Amino acid sequence: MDNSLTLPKDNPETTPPSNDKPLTRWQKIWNAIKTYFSKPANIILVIFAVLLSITVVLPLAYLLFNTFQIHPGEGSLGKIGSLTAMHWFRVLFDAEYDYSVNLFWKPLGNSIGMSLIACLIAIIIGGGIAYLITRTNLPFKKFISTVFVFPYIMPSWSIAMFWENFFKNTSLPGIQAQTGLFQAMTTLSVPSGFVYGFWPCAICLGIHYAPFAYILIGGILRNMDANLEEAATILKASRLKIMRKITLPIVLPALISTVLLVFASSISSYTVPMFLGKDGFMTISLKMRALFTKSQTMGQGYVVATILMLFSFGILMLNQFITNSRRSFTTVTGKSGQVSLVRIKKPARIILTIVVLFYVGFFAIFPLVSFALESFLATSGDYSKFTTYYWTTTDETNPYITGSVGILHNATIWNAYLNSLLISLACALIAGTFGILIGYAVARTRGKHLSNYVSNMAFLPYLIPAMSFSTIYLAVSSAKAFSFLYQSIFLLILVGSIKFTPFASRSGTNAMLQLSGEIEEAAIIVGVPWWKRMTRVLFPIQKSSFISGYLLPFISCMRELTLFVLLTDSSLILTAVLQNYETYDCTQISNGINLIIIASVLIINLVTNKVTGASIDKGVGG
Amino acid sequence: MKAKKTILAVGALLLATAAMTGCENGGTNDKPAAIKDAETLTYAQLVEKAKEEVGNNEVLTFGNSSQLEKALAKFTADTGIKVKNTKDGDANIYTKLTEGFSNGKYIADMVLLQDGNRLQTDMINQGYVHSFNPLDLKDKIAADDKEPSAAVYLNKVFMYNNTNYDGKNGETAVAGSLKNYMTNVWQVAGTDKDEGHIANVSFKNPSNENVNANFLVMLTSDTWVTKLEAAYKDFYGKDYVAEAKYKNIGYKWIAEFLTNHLPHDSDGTACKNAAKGVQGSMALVNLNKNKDLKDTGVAKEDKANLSYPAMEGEVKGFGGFCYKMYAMIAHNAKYPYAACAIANYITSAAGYEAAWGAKDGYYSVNKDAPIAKTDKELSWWKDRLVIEDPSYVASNFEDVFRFIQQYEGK
Repeated sequence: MDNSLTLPKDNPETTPPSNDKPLTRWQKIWNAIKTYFSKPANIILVIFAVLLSITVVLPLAYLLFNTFQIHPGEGSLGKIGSLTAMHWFRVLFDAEYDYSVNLFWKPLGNSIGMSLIACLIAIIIGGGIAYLITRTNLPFKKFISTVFVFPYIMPSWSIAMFWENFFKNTSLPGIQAQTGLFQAMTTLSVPSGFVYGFWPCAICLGIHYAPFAYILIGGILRNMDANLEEAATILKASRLKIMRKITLPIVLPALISTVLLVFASSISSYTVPMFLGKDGFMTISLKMRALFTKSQTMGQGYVVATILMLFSFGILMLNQFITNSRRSFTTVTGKSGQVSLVRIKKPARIILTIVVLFYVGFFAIFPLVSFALESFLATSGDYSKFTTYYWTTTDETNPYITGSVGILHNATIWNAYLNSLLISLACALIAGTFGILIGYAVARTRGKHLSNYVSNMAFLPYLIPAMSFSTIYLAVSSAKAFSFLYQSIFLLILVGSIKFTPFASRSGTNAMLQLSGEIEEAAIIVGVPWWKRMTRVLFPIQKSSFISGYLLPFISCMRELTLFVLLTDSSLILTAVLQNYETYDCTQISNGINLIIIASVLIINLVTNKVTGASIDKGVGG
Repeated sequence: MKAKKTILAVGALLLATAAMTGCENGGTNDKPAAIKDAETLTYAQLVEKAKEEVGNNEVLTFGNSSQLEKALAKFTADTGIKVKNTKDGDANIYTKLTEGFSNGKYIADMVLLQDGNRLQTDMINQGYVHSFNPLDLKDKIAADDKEPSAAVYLNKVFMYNNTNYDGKNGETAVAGSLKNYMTNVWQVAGTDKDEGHIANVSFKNPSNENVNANFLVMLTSDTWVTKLEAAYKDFYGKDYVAEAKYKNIGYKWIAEFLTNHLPHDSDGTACKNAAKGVQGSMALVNLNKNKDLKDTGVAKEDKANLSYPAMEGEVKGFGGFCYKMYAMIAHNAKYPYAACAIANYITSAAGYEAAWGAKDGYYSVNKDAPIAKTDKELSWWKDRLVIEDPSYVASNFEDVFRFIQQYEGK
């Protein structure tokens, strides 16, 4: 048997002519272009550079332009439509009434503090549990792993609402003096600062985003080659030293990605401080929303949005700097990948198991059960009488909402559900595929300018506030040239796909960075074409990461509201219908809708897991 | 060189953006002839014209109110004219309308909007929408509701828990043991050193609720400055002496009230919490939120646990505030007669009944429309509540908004 390697034949189109005639300048350029585009990674990069420039740079330019434009309600600043720097001045330096301090600096300080604490909590809890699940002999791993991501699947406000309902007590002032579950069980009253304000907001956000840390860090830890740690153990390095010198550096990109994602999400979180800021705690996202909804302060709203984006952009640059340095983050090499578990001894193992189970039970299962129960209560908040009325009745449950019959008979709810499902599946399919392609191209051309550009552009939509992102697409679809897009499902899919590509591109890039180049090289040597290398070699190895890249946009899309409401009729998607029922205090039906959203995501996750072996908890990044 | 190129590139990009998204301004302040003509027609004539105009097509409307959809369903059933409504929150509606109208796009024939500030600033001042005053109802609608043309009023009133529930005596406490708790609006401002001071009044932050912000702006107007000064003298027994840090007494009340208030995120929940809370829990919320209260007893969401100072007797100053839903016709309406017919219908007694009916906290501008038996007439409330004036609010909003940032959060 001939074991010698056969090199693929030279492609005549890309091989330079062999005659001695010197090449003209144009021939050289043409050859360079042909050579460049002979690599699939480069073709992908160029396509996405163009696509993202159009779909991402335009909203950014719109955002920036509006920070200088005088809007209809700002006539006191000059002619409407002309340019001014006054919005920036008002936000940053206006001393009258201490306006800048109260509007911007103080809330910004609150938001940064809250987001940093949320990052810390997410990393400690998410990273800690990721380590326990992947690297120790903790029992009930499968259960914990599945349930731990529930808080991310649930809308962040649901955790905030749960927190409030649990800890509120009669020692609070005014109408806030209500008996909560904790007081009912223990007769104890926690102080106001533990129910409302900075700490509850930071803790709830940390809990909501801890699955990010778990998914990102867990993915890497799961795939990490144990040989590295074993070699260190043989060399008699201590556990701490191994952690410091091997484990931590390997999970560093995931750690930075977690900080980036959690910080950017927390700082722009609106619903959590809205629910838990009832002691007067004010964040920059609350102020930004307020500015955007008043005619006289639109320009200032755009300034705040731009500054928030710049903050997150700074972290993105840091992320870029760290992952772009010459260190390698490869963890999948094709060599031995077995993991040796750290054996936790008995008393500690039992205590740790109880703590972890209590955590997931309290923050992941309890809120879910409370949604389900709330939808069956005869009177909201009164757990003494249950009914199926709000699910089964054919009578209108609310005089103010047309067609507000029970959930099972409610055509508006089920039509919106199908639309949401369709939009989410389409967005997930597009964003997930974009993510894999971008991940491949970026990983294969790491360090190049175009690679950095595409990588950053693909992540930028995550940092642009949903409200401004959808406003630009509303403006575009309102323009005569693009009026075919106005209020169409296609527009929603386009916007959703671009907005949620960052999740997929992160997952795709991290997964591809972990793959050693030699795996693909082996396939190249035996002449396997690119698409086969992708589908038969690379995809199967990092299947769980790539499928996570489809699942994350799906989840985000299913529970997204702000991004879509401007672009469509309010009864088209399920979250908009939910909001309508909440506006009219139909608590039972809105809880039922929430339950439908969460259950759908869980079922899709479960089916994906059964069919492909991958699931969201298996990890972005590996 | 590189920096210069970058600046040029950014400049070009911004210009391109401006060109793509810039305002074409699709309106003028001249009322279209069709609307003027519609104001000379009876409802029956208007419907006939509308039928000819629309044919088998759909009339487009925008509104934040679910009740509007009920009225539209009845209107379609009665006339055969098909209507498609876009229901959304106020802020989203204004964004959608502004983007559509400024691009000259036909997106709506009639709009039912609240928030007088944005209506005046973003719609009326830009010439995007116009008032319509039905011929049939000209004697039934007050002059101050004709320009801009209002359809429905809503009110937010002070309400308090009148039980003797203290958080522990739920079994024995009774409703109605606290009476005339608030008789002067300065009780909810000032400090706890003032006799009769009421602390921690629940109120949705004006930053998050535009109609609440508009109410505060109205308090700086001459009318309310005079009333606040009179109430101040009544409460403190002395005349108000101007203070350098407040432009007038309205600003003082706003500052003290916001310092004293507890923010909430939902008027409905705040109303329920006031009902099931302890004695004296107070909120300034929509009266119509009492619709969800039931006869369940003390320490529960029971209607009997709440009293409304304005309905108990005179409150020196005011007992809350009113805001309106305005029925306006789009400047570029494709079916202006149909739009006017819809506006006419929802302002009629029959249309109002079909949509809002006789319920607490809703009032038609049409004096013939029904009122809830447990409620008072609109004219009664107008004497006791602060009424939103879009023109005044729009002109003074910026300064008051800047002022209230000092007191709204920490």
